[in-house]
Amino acid sequence: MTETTDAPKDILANIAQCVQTGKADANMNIPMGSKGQPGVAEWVDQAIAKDVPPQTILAEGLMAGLQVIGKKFAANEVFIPEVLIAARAMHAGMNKLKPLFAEQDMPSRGTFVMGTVQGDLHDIGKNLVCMLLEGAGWRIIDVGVDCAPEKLVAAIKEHPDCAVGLSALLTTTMVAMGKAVSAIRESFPDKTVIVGGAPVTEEFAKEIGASGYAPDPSAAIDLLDRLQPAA
Amino acid sequence: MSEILTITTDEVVPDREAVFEHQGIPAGRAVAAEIEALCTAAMEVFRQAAAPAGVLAEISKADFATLYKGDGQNEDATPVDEIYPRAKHLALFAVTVGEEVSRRIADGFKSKDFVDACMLDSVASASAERAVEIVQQRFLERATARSPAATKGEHRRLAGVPTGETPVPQFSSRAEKILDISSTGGDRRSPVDGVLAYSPGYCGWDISGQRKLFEFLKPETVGISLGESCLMQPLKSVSGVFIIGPKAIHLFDNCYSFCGRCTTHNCRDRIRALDAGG
Ligand code: B1M
Repeated sequence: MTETTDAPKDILANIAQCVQTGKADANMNIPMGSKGQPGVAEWVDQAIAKDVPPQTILAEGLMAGLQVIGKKFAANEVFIPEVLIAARAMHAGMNKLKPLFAEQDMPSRGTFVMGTVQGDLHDIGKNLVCMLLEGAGWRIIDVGVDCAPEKLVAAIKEHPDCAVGLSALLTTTMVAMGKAVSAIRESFPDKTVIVGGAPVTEEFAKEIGASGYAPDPSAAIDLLDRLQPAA
Repeated sequence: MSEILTITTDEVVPDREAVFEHQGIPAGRAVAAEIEALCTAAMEVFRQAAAPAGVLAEISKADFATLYKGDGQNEDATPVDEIYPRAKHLALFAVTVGEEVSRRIADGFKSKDFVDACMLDSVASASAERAVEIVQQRFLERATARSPAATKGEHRRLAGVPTGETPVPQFSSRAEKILDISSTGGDRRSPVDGVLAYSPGYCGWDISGQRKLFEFLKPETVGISLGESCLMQPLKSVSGVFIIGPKAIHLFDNCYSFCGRCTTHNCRDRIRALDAGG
């Protein structure tokens, strides 16, 4: 951990570091033997006390930490549990920040509506994508598993500026993915719709008219940056 | 006739390594103490919630031939097409670790307890695979007790090695080792039968094959049902066919049309495991 001067930049570095190690708060014994030492929650409290703007805490502390984990995940340096533990630590910090943002001011990269397609109940991959996109600043609307096209369209109507993500794990439900994209295109021809999941490929994504394919959550973040650049 | 199997939770508690593999952690990689602790906790929840069950039905080659065709959606050439005609015994199976485990996983995700829910998910997946191994081994033992082990000569015939000739080149030294058929002579009995499971959704057997499999096997009797997209409920369930025969009938190269799209190539590990035992 960064040595503890109480300079804001060191506090932010400690937040990012604690996110990476999954140290959510002082009570948590992750990493083993760290119980009693400050975690994300306590460092965020310190940052707030030092008048560090909440946007800065979010971007340069919490999100910076999770982004490192996302990249390491894509490079096979860390694996699913480390990502989830880091995301949990990040949430401990977000919970501290939320009251400081008026609802509409909560900075966001955009809204991302994500679901697993109709007939498919797999949600591990979807959840990982949601968590890492959230870490990259997206506001996530998780419409769940087994999503009929109508459910997706309704969610998009509620969040007209959103980008959409679809996940499928079975070849049989790839058909449902095609139907979902068609239904979305009917009402929202220019909508950014990205797809992923074990049997999905770049060619398949093109074939069904999706805007792009991402093999993993990090690739999804990069793809969305390309398709829908930040304002 | 389908037979309902008794499977205990103790039997299907998976190895930690298998759980970690489902978490994407490569075999042999050091695992942090906190992740070990998560796994231990998830195993405990699993023990409380699991209700493993299974069903098995032996099937003739003729019936299996019809069943395997399914709705005609399989790839043109598949390993099972070549393996089952040389088999000695075939049985359809379905196993599950039960509904309660899936419910707990879903509840965990709903309440955003992703860390624990995901570890429990991996324990349950590894356990479903373990259940297949348990049932497969029982079927092998029972089938070999019923019919005496084949002679070397029979093995050579079933493995496609013509009498009086050395093993065919495509089987190479690997088959010789597995089958112990490198010498042409002798009628010694040799316990070299092996069993492997093949499932709809893998190796060119279209997942729609689940429909015919379910019609024959009726896994509903143990609480496993099939949805429209051929997904089973409870989620942590596995179905397929056990094929028993000389180990060499299971050898195939991964150069089928669909192998290029496969991301796991775990057929290689399965074949290697035959070498080691089963
Ligand atoms: C929007 O943008 C994006 C971007 C990226 C996106 C994205 C969206 N969505 C996902 N991603 C990506 O990011 C995530 C993180 O990196 C990734 O998400 P994933 O969801 O892919 O990855 C998860 C983090 C971890 N991965 C998983 O959880 C799935 C792993 C694999 C090995 C798998 C497992 C573990 C299991 N299975 Co099975 N299983 C397979 C899978 C093969 C594979 N290599 O994927 C798959 C899904 N299974 C398959 C099959 C056939 C089956 N399985 C079955 C059973 C099982 C287990 C119980 C043993 C176990 C649990 C499954 C479960 N549902 O919980 C059966 C079905 C179960 C059922 N209920 O019906 C059974 C039908 C076999 C049988 N006959 O019994 C295959 C489906 C093939 C098909 N043709 O449809 C399969 C692809 C294996 C294969 N053939 O290679 C990426 O894909």
